Amino acid sequence: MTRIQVLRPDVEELEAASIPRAPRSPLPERPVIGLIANGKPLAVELLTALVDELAGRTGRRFEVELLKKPSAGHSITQGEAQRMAARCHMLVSGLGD
Amino acid sequence: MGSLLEFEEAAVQEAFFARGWTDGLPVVPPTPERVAALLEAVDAQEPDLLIGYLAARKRGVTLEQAATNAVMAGCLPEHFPIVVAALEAMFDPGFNLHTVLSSTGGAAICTVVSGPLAAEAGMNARGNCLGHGVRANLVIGRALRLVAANALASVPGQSDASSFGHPGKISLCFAEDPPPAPWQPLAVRAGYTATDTTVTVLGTEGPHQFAQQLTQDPRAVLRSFAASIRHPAWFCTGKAGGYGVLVLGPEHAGFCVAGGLTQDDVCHAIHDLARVDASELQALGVVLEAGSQHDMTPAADGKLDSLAGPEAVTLVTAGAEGAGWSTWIPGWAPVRHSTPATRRVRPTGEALPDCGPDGCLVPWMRP
Repeated sequence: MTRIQVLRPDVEELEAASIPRAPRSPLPERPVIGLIANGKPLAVELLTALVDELAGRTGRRFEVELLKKPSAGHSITQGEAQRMAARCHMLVSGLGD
Repeated sequence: MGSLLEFEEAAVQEAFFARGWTDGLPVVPPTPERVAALLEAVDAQEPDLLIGYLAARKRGVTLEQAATNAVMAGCLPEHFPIVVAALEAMFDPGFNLHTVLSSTGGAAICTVVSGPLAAEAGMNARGNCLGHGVRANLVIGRALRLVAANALASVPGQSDASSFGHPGKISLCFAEDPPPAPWQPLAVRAGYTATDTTVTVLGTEGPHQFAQQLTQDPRAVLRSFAASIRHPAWFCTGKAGGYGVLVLGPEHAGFCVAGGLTQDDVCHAIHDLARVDASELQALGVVLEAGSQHDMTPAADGKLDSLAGPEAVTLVTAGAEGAGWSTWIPGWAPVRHSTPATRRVRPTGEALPDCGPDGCLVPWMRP
């Protein structure tokens, strides 16, 4: 039997570095929820309904910080991410079709 | 050199299938000798040199990874400079590779090669150029998909969310047949010289063949084509952002030239004629987007653009004589998500510019 050597065509996965979670701090009376709408139809409506649902479940009222992406195909900028992170206590950033 | 693995020769295919390293078809085992032959074709002094990096995936593609996957696709050394230029184009920020590779719309990496190196590499620009039978067309396109899958982790059901995909996702690559005079090749119209060879990549749906066989009136030909382009179920119709490749067959290109139309005339006509009445779309059940990424507010005449502009039509000539066929390869999403990108092929033996330690702008990368 002939043995041959071949080059591996993919990338070996590196083990992700362990990153500790940010410290949990008590929420203020009216926490700020950041919403990142991906630009698709009804994205804002869906995310807003999510906030309403969360408010109903927790009995809290929330401030909403809305960021609308001009295109679902592009990420938000680093500056936008930093502004949202500085202002918001929590973020909803994932939205599928 | 990347990681070397050792297999019984008879077991290589199944080992690659088992690891998910193929596109579902058998591959050529990427032995170090075969990979080295491809790297030699691009004078690769540094096989670890990055062709591009995709920040969203924290992954890049080195020359050696590209060559390894190109060998698997079946590429010969003369194909590899074209593969490298196509990969460079794919990493153009405007092409937005991450989205092209991950969209539910399932985009092919449509690859159009214009210039003398296409024929030298054995590419087909004539009969069945979008079909089977010619190695260069198929393996160059296939290499790009294998690189995307293996080096950039574009795996169906994972980071490739295609709802359907289409056969062009395996390979969709062809050469331009030099257009009839006085029309100019795509490379020249993109600002390069007639001796240059360029590669243009576009995220596209599958090809849609057009028939127009009983008229020689170019305006009639273009009217019917534009009406087919603006069909209501194309994702870009009415969204003012569509693009695509219009591949004119010899008869239709000849009718246009005989009718005195320039290539710009054709692109303008297609753009204008692909506008659509908003009311027509609504009557067909299309809901007009408002307040979201694709604004579909009609113009004063009640119409919506389907194409982003005349320049959104990548006009090429190819195919063989027949009854009168052409082909439209629609972009898979509006230009706000991805735009076509073009790079010049660096021929084997052409020296790289001396950029010093910090790099430089390479003048021939963009005209």
